[in-house]
Amino acid sequence: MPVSPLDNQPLSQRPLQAGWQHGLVAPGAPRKSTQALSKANATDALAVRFGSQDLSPTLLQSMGRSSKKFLAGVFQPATENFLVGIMIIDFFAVWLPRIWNALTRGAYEYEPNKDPKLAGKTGLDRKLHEWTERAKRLNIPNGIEETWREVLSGPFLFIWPTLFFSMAKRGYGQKAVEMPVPTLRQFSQTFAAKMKSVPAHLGATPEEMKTYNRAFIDHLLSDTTTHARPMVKPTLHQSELAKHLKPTYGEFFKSWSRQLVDTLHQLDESPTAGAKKTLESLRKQFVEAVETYNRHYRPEKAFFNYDKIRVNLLDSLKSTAQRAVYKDELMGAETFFENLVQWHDFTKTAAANRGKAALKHLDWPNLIERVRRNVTTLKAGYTVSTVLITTAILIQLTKWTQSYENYEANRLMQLGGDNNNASPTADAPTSERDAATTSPPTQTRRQTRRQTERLAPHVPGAPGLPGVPGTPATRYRAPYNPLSAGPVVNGLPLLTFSVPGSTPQNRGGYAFGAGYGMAPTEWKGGYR
Amino acid sequence: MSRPVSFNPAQPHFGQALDGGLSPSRRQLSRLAEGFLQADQHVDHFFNQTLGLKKMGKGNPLRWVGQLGQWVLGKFGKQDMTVFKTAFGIPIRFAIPTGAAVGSLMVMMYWGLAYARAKRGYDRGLMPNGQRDKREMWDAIRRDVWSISLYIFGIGWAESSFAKLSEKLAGINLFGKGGQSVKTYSDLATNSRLENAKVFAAHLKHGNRDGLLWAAQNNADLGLPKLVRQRNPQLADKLVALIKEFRQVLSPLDKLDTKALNMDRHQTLVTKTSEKAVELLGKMDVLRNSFVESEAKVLAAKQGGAVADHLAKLGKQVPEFRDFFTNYTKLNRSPADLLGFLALLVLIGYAPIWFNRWWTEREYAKYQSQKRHPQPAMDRPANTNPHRPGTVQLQLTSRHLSTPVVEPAFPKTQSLSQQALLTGLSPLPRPVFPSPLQGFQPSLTNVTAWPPTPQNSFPDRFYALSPLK
Repeated sequence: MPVSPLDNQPLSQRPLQAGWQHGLVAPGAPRKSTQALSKANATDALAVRFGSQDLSPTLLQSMGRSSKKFLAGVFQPATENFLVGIMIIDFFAVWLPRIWNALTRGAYEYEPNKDPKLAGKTGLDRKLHEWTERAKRLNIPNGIEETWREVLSGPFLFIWPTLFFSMAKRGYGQKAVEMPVPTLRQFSQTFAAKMKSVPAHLGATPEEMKTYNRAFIDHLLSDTTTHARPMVKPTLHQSELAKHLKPTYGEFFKSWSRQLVDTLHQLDESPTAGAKKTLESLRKQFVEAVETYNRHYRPEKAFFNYDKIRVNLLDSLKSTAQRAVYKDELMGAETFFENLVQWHDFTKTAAANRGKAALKHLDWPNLIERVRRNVTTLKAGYTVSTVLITTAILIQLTKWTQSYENYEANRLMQLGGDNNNASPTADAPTSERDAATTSPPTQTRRQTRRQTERLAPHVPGAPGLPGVPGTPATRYRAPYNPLSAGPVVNGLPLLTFSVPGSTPQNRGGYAFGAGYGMAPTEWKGGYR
Repeated sequence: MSRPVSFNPAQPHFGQALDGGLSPSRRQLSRLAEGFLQADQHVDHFFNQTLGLKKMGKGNPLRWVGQLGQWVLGKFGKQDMTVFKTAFGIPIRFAIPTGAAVGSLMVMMYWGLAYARAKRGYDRGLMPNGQRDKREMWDAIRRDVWSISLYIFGIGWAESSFAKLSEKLAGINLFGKGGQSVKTYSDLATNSRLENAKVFAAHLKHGNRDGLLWAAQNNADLGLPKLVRQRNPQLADKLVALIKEFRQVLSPLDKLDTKALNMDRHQTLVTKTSEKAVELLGKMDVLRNSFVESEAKVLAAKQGGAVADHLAKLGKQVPEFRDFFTNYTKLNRSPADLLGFLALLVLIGYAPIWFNRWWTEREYAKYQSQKRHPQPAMDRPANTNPHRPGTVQLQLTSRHLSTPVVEPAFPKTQSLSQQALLTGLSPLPRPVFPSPLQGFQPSLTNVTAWPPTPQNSFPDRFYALSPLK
């Protein structure tokens, strides 16, 4: 294989290539070898081009790698953590486009040609003036409504479940409520089957519980093939496992389970930083041990499952009350570790219940089953409550944020004689509409609303300011009056079908709208 | 979080003999709770066993309908909240209703967001003339039902569609053996560490041959870290020689077919190449480790701080050579994610907005055109308001034909306005309302007292007769 003499020179001494000043090639980067080692290179651009002598990436390669690295840094948490993913998508795909749309839909038009203030202005001054004028005409009320609604609704999907389960974790079963229900059942039934041999009179002191738990974890990890095999030294440079190697995997798991149970009990007594660090180290050791084992002993079969371990659990399909049958289940090492930590809280609850006089008559398996059923029932209760309350909060949130009685987005496109907004409408004569749309409202809606409130502070049905565009007349609801309970058309009540949830109180503004609508010049005394 | 066991409620199991000493009603309640949290498995059982969906012929349309129902109800039945993770560096474990609890998410999003917004749009769509403006309601339905469905069902689809493209372009296996979903970055990191020759050979056999060769060719993935060249040129030269040798060792693999069968036929070549390649990677890592350790000691002496801290920092700048394929797979998955994200951005974010805007304006243009060019009188229903073609109105004729004209809304409104004026703060001109007792006769005085200008935007049905037209 021909090797370019340039490769032996330091980068700084290499000659510059044509095009480096345009950023196409990094200064000092060696020429690409044009000679291909394989035939595929000559025919197919996508085929492997093998044998390039470059060991420094070109500028383009570097840029490509940097951007991919950045993307991987963003997308790794986004794809592996639904909360992060949904918030990123929410921000870019919901907040930004919807808020901008809300601001621009129903915005007053601005025509620079008709603006006398623009005369003589050029360049940035002109642009600034234009942008300012356009900004003044944005549909701010609609934008505010949209912003509150969207920004609050995404996080609320997670806030209440988090709060609720945080509270739940302090109650019965503690962290065991976080376990998947099938896993909890498998663990508890396997544990119960093992505890069958333990006499009911035996107590549940911490020391005794430690013994049971150690035996239980040893049983879970008692896969015979794993146990017998010698332990492999990991190749990781900074390995947690390297310091805790044992002759066989069986011995390692045994000593590891003792340390884990001791550490969890220690954390119950005093959650020190040291104990937490030990727990983290135990997690790393376990995961590393599982991965190393799979890579060395099951590289073909466990491909793409290097992080999974076979756990010896009760086979719920074959086991009966008389006979317990076990089988190996593949579980992720991280998940398994997390489940063991949660399981510790379960056994703590069982131990606490063992001491209760009312439960003295139960043997160990039945006591375990009782705790499991209670935890499951509570979890179902937490879940239903969480979902219902979050849904109710979200429904209320929509009402809070969309508190206007009219849809501001359509303020320039009113249908059927609505005067929800005393603003220039498309129904108005063209000349007047143009005049209104080219000049911004004389004051903001908020100012108008305040002014209206100041003028008529105690009157819910007070009118807006006639002639002032943007007067939110229908912001105020008419008080309920049974006589005026229906909408009025041309002075006569209109029969309408009642809609559940729609009361005269929430038909915002029609009563006052009818007041405007009853324009003296138009009213002909009804149709009769 | 994986759910390791399939649950078949029809089968007896060990737990059946245990009742925990609970009363029958408590036992019933706990069974109900368990059934609720595993409703998806009951759904599967119902469709597969009770309805016998799998036994139906593949061309049977009932099977398709059933499968769709099973899929939707199966998603809805996932209520078991099992994902608790930290996010954004906040030291709180958030409860994330996804995976096994996607049904909860569906309830919260469809009812709490889509339904609530559509309902609010419906409620506030009532116009003064009694008609209902449903544009906001339909806006909300089109936008939210679509985008929520994509949130729940579409993210995985976007990921896997583009990952297939990435697989071909980067020559890597992103789905695993017969996998339906894309492997996560963590899975790729775990899987792609070339710790020994057997793992290397497994990668060659499982569709990663092209990727391995390209990664070895690509200087960024298997190249010389800049830091090594800057600090220790002699060590850099040694590493360069090893990298070149590594490439040389791999070159015969280029000719092999990617099919597993052919890989097995060339077992000897694959095994020998893998052994040699991993041996070289091991040598590179020995050099790399010695460099990192010596550099960490030097930095600790110069800058202070613990050697371990410097070691950790340098570890990121000079990655291990056994991990070069990990970097390659992770980096080559990211463009697929970007494309998927952009697709979602358009589909969730912009498409419904553009569509809604276009649709609303189109509907409004239709409405305007109908108003300007009303239908002929013959087409109208008998009891139609002549000023609003197409609008059916039912009048309380029995009451109004026999009594003087009474407009029920006015007295209340008028009195309220008078109350406002009585406060003495209002400069509002007093509106002149028709008296409920004597009816109303239009006069010039009334018009000047409160002129119905377009700024007041009185209803178009009056505008048709307005002298200001």
